[in-house]
Amino acid sequence: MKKILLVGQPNVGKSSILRALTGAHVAISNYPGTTVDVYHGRARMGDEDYEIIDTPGIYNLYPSTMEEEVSELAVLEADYDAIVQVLDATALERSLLLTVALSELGVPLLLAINFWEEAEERGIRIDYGKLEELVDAPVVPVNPYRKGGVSELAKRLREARKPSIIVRYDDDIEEAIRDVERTLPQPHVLSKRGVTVRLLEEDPVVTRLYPCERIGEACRRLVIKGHEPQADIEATRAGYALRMASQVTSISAGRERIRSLHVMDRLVLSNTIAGVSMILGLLLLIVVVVIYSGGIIQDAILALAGPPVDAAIAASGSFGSLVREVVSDSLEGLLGQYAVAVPYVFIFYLILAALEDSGILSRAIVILNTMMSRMGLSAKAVIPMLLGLGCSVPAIRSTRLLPDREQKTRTTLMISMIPCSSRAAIIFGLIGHGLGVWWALSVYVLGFGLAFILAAISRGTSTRGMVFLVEDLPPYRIPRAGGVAAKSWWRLLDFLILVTPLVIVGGIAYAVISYYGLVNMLAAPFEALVASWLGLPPLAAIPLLYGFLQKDLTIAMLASVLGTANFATALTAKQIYVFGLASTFQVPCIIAFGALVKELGWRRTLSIEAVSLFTGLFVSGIALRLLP
Amino acid sequence: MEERIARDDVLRFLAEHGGSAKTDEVRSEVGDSELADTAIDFLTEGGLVEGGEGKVKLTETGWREGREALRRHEQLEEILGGHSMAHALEHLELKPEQMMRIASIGRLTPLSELREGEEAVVVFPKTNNPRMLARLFGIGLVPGARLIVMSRKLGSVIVVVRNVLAAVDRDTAGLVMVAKA
Repeated sequence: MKKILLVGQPNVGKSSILRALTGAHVAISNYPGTTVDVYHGRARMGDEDYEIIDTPGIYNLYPSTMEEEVSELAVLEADYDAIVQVLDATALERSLLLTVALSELGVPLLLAINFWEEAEERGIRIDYGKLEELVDAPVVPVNPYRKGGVSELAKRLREARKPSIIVRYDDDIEEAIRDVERTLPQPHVLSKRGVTVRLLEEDPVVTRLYPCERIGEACRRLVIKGHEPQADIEATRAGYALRMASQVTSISAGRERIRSLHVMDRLVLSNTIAGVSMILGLLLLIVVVVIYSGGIIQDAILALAGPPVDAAIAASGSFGSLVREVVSDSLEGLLGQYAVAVPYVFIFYLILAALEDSGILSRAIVILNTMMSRMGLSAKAVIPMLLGLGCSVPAIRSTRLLPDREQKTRTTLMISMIPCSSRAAIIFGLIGHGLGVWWALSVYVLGFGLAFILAAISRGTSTRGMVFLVEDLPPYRIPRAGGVAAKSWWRLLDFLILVTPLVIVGGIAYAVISYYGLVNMLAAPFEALVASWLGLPPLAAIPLLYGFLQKDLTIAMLASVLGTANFATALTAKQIYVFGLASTFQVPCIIAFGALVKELGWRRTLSIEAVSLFTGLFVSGIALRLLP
Repeated sequence: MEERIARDDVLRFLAEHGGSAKTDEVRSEVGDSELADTAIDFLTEGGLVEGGEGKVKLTETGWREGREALRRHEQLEEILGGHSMAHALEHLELKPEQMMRIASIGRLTPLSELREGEEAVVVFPKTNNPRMLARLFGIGLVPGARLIVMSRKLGSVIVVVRNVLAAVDRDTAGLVMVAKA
């Protein structure tokens, strides 16, 4: 089977092309050796079977986020038969920058030009034949949304070849290239010159894959001669892209370029009040739609899957009570996860994909940037936080779109303060039911407040200027239902693959612990703290501890230790609120713990858990003392 | 990049003035005394100029470099930052007379200081952060690219560059040096 790598800038339509080529048969897996997912699918084209791998969008081969690093790694590891680069016809020059960088590495290439109809509408004409001549690799205009829109691409896949573009640099840089090239062993597939140039740019991924002793000295010499290797090399490449673009593009008279902002942008990007209102409106819309429609789907799933699960649990009883306990806890855990978290997460993904494809998300990120950058966070950190309202696990996963580990850790710390849908059950079931909806909502306000306070406190170490916003704002487009549904489905699948084994492991752990009565033993040392600092009945330590295993069980366990589900008879209003806070702002559940370890490693995970536990206890205790 | 332009400025200025000039004159030519002094120190260490008693003088090697800098200046390359950048400028979206105007102004402005509707040409990004540089170039803010500022509300500068709408936060925009066209 032949392997094809799809590469291109963000918002260029790679995933639509993947879908058009492979149909719905798309799977997700970690890119080997990383925690970043790539989508891949299989297709039969002509008499050949292909595996097509989609990579995260990248502007330039030099990575600026962890996701982009994976795209570069996939290109450099060269485990493919060809690369299909997807280009944007409306911004050809920018796409060609990546083409020049890929050509320089000597990879077999085919260029797929997307949005060519849109470009023609805007008066931009591209001479594909001439571009093919210049690059010396096949160039195919595509429209992934039209039937047959990628058939030409499928037909010409075998023609993919190494382009003949050779970038000539300044004399000093050429000398450095020759000098380093001599000592570098021939890389697998890639051009030695291409690798050398990237080494001189001190590209982190290439440096890791092709360590070379001479680079430090070569770069130092270039700097002494007054060069800035990375800037000079990239500028030269940009010059080639610019020259190629101007050779193959003609623009109809009078329609040259964007001269004014889209009417929407004139509103949201040029008017502070309108921009901020848009953001607040969007956030409100997301919260309302996610919570309301999530609830409806949740009820439907529980009604549908509840009886067979009960039957299976009953059937497992014949294998002894431990087995029954394990089966029951794993299955109920799964049902809880699928019924409670999945609807919220899926609806959020649908909204996210629609916002992404319509171009609204990029505007929202620009508007949010000022506020977020004050806390030393990238505006994109808003996405994991909103996702956290559904479930912490996909939220933790989505921190990969942030530029570095530090931002990732700090955003994850914030996520731990955002009540997920399981915690919503505690908040509304306990506080909302007992004290009223406004008290319940106050927990959300407190959660977001604490998240931002933690972000501000942890900001101390982050260096100014490391968080920057340089984003393109794609034209407004009406999102296609098929594209939005597919994207959301793929992401949901990714979530399910991650979460299912963790839920089962959590269920087994829970069953074993409760079978042997270990919880009471584990809870005993905390009882004094719960009584003195939180002012709760000592036994309340047990449901709080159960919360670590599964947040949804907290209320049921509280009812069990209090001996009543009518909490108002056993607890005062203040105690209800404090218990609600203490169980909401606590260590994330065991499933999120697993995701955290996977994403950040043990050390950072334990620090995050410690900080969130301390914050939760602190805030709950303070609430007890401050509330009337 | 700024230092590099300053060094070129010093060499060219001395070559224009018969090989030597008062340090103060050099400083006022560069426009930034501290930058000028750093450039002079760098050039002295490299054996291109000799200093003393408030004067700066080209050495023999310095003369060669100075004439070269002068030549480049005539071609307006130096304002766009050294010869490597020149490759990028072969198809600069500027007419010769516009280039002359840039040369006569000779002053670079940070992108963040442009007003709405103003047009400019990117000269260079003044950053040591490779990720930021890669991102700026990747989005089309490369030396020689012409841009129009569309909006500067909400803490960001929104520009059209190479037919693409792009947003740059104000701090980063302060590092992108442009020449008003």
